[in-house]
Amino acid sequence: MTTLRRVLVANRGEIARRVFRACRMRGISTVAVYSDADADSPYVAEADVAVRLGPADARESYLRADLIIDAARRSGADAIHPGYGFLSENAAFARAVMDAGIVWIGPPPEAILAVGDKQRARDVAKRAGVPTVPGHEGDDDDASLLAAAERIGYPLLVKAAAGGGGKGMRKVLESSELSDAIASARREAEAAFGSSKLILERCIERARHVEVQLLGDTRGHVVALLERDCSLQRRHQKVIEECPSPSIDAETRVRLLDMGVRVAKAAGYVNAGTAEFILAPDGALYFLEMNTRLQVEHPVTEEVVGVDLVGWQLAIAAGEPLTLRQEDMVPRGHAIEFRLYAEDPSNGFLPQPGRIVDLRLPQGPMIRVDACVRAGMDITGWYDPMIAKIVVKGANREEARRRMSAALADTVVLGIRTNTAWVKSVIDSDVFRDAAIDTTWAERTLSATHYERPEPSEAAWVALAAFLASGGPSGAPSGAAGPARHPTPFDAADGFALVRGVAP
Amino acid sequence: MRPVDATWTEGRIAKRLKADPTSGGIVLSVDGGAARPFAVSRDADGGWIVDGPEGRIRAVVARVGQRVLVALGGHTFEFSEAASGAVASAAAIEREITAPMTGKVVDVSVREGDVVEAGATLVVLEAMKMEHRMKAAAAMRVTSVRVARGAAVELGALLVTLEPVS
Repeated sequence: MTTLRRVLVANRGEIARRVFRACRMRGISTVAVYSDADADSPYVAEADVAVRLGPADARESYLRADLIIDAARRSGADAIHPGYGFLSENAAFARAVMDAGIVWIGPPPEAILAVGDKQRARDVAKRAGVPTVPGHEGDDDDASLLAAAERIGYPLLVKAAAGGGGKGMRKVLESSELSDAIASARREAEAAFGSSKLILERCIERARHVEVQLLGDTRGHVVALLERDCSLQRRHQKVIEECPSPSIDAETRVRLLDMGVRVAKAAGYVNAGTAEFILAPDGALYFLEMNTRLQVEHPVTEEVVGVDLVGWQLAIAAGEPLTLRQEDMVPRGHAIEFRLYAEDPSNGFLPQPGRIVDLRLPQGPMIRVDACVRAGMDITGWYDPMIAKIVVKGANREEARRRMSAALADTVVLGIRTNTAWVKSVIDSDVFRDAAIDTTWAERTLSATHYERPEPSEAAWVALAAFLASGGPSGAPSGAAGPARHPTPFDAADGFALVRGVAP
Repeated sequence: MRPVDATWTEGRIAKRLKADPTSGGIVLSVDGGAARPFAVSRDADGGWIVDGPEGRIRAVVARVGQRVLVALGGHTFEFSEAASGAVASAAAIEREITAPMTGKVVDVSVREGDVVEAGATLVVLEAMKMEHRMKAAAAMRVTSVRVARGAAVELGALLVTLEPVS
């Protein structure tokens, strides 16, 4: 067993803060790395040590394995947590970290190679006797893809083999669109993952997206920490996730979790990972891919199962045994997560870089916010447009849904447009209440061009008049603090000391 | 508190607000309607609490440049004073394709002089790792291309100019 003393998080924003929190719980000190665009971000100040990587462009900062390993050496970090995105599923990076004598908080590079690529993951699943979606993997030159597409039939999905989060993915309805989709998916895949390799998959219509949270230790013990349902997606980007899935019964759950464990074991999987499945309208389950990292939506699992997944990642990386038992994995309550994005639903969901003038994130019992923003901060165009994750829990799904609706009503981001009102309209809808949403529902019913911002309510005009009558800007909140902001860890008088600046 | 008499707009809606101060609030008439009394106060976070005949309104309000943003109930409304809100004509907008966000030009699909069909891709922009295609709204002729592949562009930057095909 190893003792972790100082962990570097090779990531930014809310996930860096999330990992720091787990480290502090275990008395481990923290190292942040940052690009020039993030120098003033709260997570940088929050770390015990912060190291600059390079310019804002991720290819010159967060995707530079050499700079990150050098930062770990210079800051005395004995372990690296990759977060999600960036280099988190890059086996070469994991290997380089380990070769540098640094503990890698994630699956071994062999396991990343075995399942991190969609194509190899399908092979592993087949070996484990787990069904997969019909498709094409292998030669990915344009001619091979065009020929395979004719065999698979339309609609189909073009996907980045190394992908995730909808990047480098295109849905193709007919053969005339295929060439364009391949070219554009390749470009996006190359930019996002450093690999332009593509696979094809039959598009199963009206499917639901369910995924199994897995933890495995170095002794071969694997546990499935229930499933998540991420069926509300827009352009293959998850918007709302929940745990447990409202679309499966207890019997299907047992079958699903067992499939997840079988894939993980066949891959020699260690640490946290997620097996993604498609639930077809006829009840068939197909293995889709494995995410060899912590997921953005891990909090819903934490809230329902009652575990600290990042804490377990640290423990497993240190060689500790996983003491969770599969038979204890039963849902306790229901959790829902909403991803607050800086994007404009009334204008094609275009990203909305800009300054957050004022910010109110919801608070209260059974409301959890994972974020790294404050009023006055700029959302740059360099990275993902996610501002915050808002997670609510309830005794059951309906209670959680109502709590989420209230939490969204309390959410205020002024200065840039967000998806809050659009998601609230979804949460409040009968179709979401009845859990009847599939992965293409958002595109079919609330397509970007048809989402219209509602006209201001009478109350909004009254509030405007009250503001103007009070003197507008000069009547703004008084006091040196300026606009109210969401509390950050710096606000807590807990004696937490910061050491800023570049490590020796 | 001070009196207000101005027309404000939000999207396509315009309303005239006439407010007179009272002790602890305002008397408000919207679009010449009946004047109603409202008590105005602030919450601990600087939010606005407005109590009127129909109950309590809680809102967060901020002035950003010429606009006043009002957030309530999960919605954010963007008000502008009518006089300052000059809107370009639809015809003018169609002839100038501008960047809807700050980003990078990953592809330029047209050249000066090209005649394009409605829906044809003109420029592909990338921001936040997502691609966005700027398309022609109608059959048009490209009169100039102002950007090259690989260029970084700011929000509102002119990308392509078009003219109707006669």
